[in-house]
Amino acid sequence: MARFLKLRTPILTVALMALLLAVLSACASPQNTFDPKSDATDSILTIYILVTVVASVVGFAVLAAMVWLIIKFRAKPGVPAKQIHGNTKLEIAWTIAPIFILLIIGIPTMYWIAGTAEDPAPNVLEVEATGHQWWFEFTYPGMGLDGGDLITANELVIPVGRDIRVTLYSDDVVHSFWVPQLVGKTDMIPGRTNVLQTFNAYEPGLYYGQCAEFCGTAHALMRFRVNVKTSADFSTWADAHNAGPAAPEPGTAAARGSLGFATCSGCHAISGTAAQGRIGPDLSLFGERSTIAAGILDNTDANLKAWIGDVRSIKPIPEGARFMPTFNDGTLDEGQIADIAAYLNSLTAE
Amino acid sequence: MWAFLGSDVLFFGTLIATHLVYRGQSVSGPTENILDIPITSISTFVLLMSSLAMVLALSGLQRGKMGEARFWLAATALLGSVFIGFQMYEFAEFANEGLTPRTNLFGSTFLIMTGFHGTHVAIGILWLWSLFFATFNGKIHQGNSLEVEIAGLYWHFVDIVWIVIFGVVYLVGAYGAEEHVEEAGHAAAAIFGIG
Amino acid sequence: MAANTGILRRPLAPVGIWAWMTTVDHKRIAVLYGVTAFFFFLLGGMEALVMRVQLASAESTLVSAATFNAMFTMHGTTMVFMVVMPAGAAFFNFLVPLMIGARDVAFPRLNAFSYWLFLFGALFMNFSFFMNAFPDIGWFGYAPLTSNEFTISNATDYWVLGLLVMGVGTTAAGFNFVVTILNMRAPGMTLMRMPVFVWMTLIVAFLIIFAFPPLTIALAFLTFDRFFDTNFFVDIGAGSDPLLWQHLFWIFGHPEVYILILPAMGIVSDVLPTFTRKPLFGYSMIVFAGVVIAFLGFGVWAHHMFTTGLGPWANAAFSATTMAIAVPTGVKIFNWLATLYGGSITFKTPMLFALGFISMFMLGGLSGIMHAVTAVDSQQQDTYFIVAHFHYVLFGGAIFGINSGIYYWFPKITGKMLSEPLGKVHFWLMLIGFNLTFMPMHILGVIGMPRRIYTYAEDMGFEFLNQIVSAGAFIIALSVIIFIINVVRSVRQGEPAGDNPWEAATLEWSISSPPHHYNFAVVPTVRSQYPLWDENANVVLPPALPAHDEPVMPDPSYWPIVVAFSITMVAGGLIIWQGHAIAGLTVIASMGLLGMRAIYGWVLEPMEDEAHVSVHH
Repeated sequence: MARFLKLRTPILTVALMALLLAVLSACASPQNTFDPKSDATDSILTIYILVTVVASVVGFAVLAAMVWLIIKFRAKPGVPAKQIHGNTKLEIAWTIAPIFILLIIGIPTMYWIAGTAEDPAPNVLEVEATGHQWWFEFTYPGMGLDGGDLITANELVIPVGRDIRVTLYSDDVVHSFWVPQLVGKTDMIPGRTNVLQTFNAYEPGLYYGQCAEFCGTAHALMRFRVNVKTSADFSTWADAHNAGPAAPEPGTAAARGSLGFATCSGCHAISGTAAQGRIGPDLSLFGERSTIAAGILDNTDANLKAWIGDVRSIKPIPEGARFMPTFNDGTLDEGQIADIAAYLNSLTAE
Repeated sequence: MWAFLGSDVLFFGTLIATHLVYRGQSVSGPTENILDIPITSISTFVLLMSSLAMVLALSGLQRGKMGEARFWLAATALLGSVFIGFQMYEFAEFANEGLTPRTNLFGSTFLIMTGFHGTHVAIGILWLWSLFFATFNGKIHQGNSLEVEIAGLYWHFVDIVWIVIFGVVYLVGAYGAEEHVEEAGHAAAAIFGIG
Repeated sequence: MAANTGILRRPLAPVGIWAWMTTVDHKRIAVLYGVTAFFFFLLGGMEALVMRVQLASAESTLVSAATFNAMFTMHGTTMVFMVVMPAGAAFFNFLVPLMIGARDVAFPRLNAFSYWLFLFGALFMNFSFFMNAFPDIGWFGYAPLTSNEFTISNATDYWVLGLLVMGVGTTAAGFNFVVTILNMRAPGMTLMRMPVFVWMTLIVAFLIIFAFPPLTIALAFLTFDRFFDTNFFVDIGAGSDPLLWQHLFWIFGHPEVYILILPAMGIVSDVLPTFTRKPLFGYSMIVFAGVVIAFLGFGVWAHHMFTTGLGPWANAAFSATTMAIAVPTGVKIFNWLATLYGGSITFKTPMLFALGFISMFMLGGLSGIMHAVTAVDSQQQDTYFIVAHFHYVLFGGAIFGINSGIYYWFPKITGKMLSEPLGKVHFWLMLIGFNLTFMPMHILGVIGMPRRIYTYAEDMGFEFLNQIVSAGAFIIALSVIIFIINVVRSVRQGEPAGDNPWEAATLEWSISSPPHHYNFAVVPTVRSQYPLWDENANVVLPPALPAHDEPVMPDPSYWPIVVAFSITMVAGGLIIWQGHAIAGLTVIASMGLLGMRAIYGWVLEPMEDEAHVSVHH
């Protein structure tokens, strides 16, 4: 029995682990950390698997030993317990043995930490992300008009295959920036400047991100997307962003909405137009975004109208919090809301 | 009692550490230059003398000389009260010059820290007077001088805490050691990522 | 005589509500702690069930976001401060004097005072629910979310003041047990002959007196920020740093984890020898490992903060210390397993829970090592993996250990046996329910589910596992119901226990069940670690003395509850003061005066009432 356990446990464990890994990486979650899509999360996963295997082997071995002990030494009539008080050699042995096991995971850990301090490639793209209750703002210094800032919100657009370094700020409480498939999390803390681990996305696509530090009532609904584009698409997007929208065709809903947007321009900005409010999210190229309301609803006409009309029916905003007003209380009628929605979704790169 | 004092060391340690970490972070309002070293030196001396009085009180009691013990107990409590008086005068002066706990970080950390210390002194004074009156109805006598010894232990501790505050906050705050402490403070802060 | 310092006559009757409210008997205080902790366990458990029903389906709208946030805030705060800590206190109180051969703790009235502060602080915090203000800041209340700007209702005031009140009581209890254990041991009870549970209590008491001051300071800063507009955590532009709160909280918070788990380790270390019929393997190593864990516990707090940008140096250092703490923890587990070796093991319910503790706690320890690795932690921090980890430690560890202790010492406390069959059903249901609940959470964390979210989208792929988790939670609830039935049945018609139903080795089993209020008629002399097993150690006690020769014990006192009440009401006055300045100040002043009066009454009151003493002499 003991021999069997000694030999088979590690093998069994590895087999089980392989099965678990296969199941996990096949899991369809868009936030699966075992399905990395960047160099950063890939390097984390290597250590992740190592520590998972080590922990599982130790765990199964100790559990198996315990089961063996309690079966072997269950009370039997006529067999008294051996009065053992201890064994110094054994105890020293199992004080030292864990140190070696810990070195197996400790050394790669230190190596990884040293790696995070390395400088990124020279063509690194610098982005600033600011957490707000309950949305994300992204600023690309120097990429805007005349070398100014290019600002967008809730959907971070980045080029594939280039180092990305995100500097993190917060406007109110502690938030945490996390895109499980692209980069591990780092907190956004008011009054401090944190830098996210540099990462380099493998392939274009839409990745899910979410605030990972409890930040108040609507914390669960503070999400975002990372849109990884090819270099060419990324440039197109940035140029269109700076160029601003073409004037909508007169007489259309979008044209009426562009006038009606004056109600919104105190808080929201659309680059290339008169709307330059900086209290709420920047809405330039809104029609390009896949989601609205900080990554919680698909960007459809119906959702957008509902959101503009009454954000509080969609996001739990506590009383007194600084957030977008409710507009379907008579401030705007349904037609006006529909016009503004049409205008926003006309803001595309084409 | 030693366990309590150990715990209280952590208590004041945290307060002083917070003050040091936040040093130099106030952006407006009066800060360390407001501290009046000569006046506080006098009050520090008064508190030191009270510790001496405490020693004499205990020694008197242990030798069974009740009169001596009473005199020095009262003296300790009175000297403590003088210290509190100085502190109230200081706080009032600061308020006149516009420094309250709300003004800035210096105000918050300094006043809360010295306020907690003042509260400790006040509790000590109450304790001493209680012992003083207890000597008259026979509850405190040569045989249970431990009661007074424990109070003395507390009193000396509160005194030592003040010496640390006076050294670290007043002297360092106002005089030249400034840069060194600032460096040390910032090095510690950098290790823990504060400041 | 001047001795009667009270306004009211001193209550001396041994029964009735008044007797319980004024008791200074460590065994009664233990029962009070235990019953209160169990009540809050049910409350915290119901809060958990609300969360599990909500999360059982994607996009659920059963409860609002604010309600859900209040549920996890209060679930965490309740389970840590109002369940596991007082459950530990219940065991310290009942067992420590019995195990070291003392008649009571060092300061019996201070002991009562600690309990009442805990109870009033806990009720005070939960009172916020009746005021329609739910604390919803998470159990570690990160600044600046706790400031007036972001939490407008005064729910956070109830939270911070309630914790302060409870913290004072806990710190007082810490002093009490340090002094009791160091000074009140029976002759021959050297430190290295103490049961491991007493050792762990001593370590916990030291942890409490060194870990609570930073928390008290942090809470005081927050109180000043919220009530008097100071700038400790809020004035970001003027140099305040929210990270200061995190440092202070976790300097307390990590030792707190050991405050929660060490009593369970002590319980298991005393249960194992009884049911293996052999001494604990490597007693001194287990004790020494506990001391090392306590020291290292103060040097690992920043592993809660790997994602806050402390920088590579701090991360590397705290990663290393965190891994180092696995060594003494591992030593304990190996020594417990070695205790099984060569034993004659009987599987009574206490033993089952002890084995459950060892296995589940070990799994929690291993997942803990995983997030000592900063790389891995950057993916696990604030996900369900963390939730899984600390429930393996605090439920699989602390709660299983406490259950083991309940089944083991219930006969000593009540004089009645708990039902073995019901106990076994309780254990197996709880073990299965526990693993169904918390094992899938590891996977939820891996696939990216953050903690503290009241809802998740359907396309996230979280729903199926969450349903398993919720089902498991209800199995745990069922097991708790069975436990309640078991206790009620036993109290009504349980078999009499006798002095030593488990044939155990430590001093508490040498006296009657339940023990006399004076514990030992004659204080025993101890000559070995396992006095009742050791033939040479003559601790067999003389029969109980005739009534008129009973040892004189401290009499009840109503001052502790009065002082505790006035302290809590001063906190209440602060909250009133925010709305009505004069009413608030009146309450604060009158309660402050009452408190002062009560402290004097307490100090001047003799331990034994003279009328009472004269009966005996």
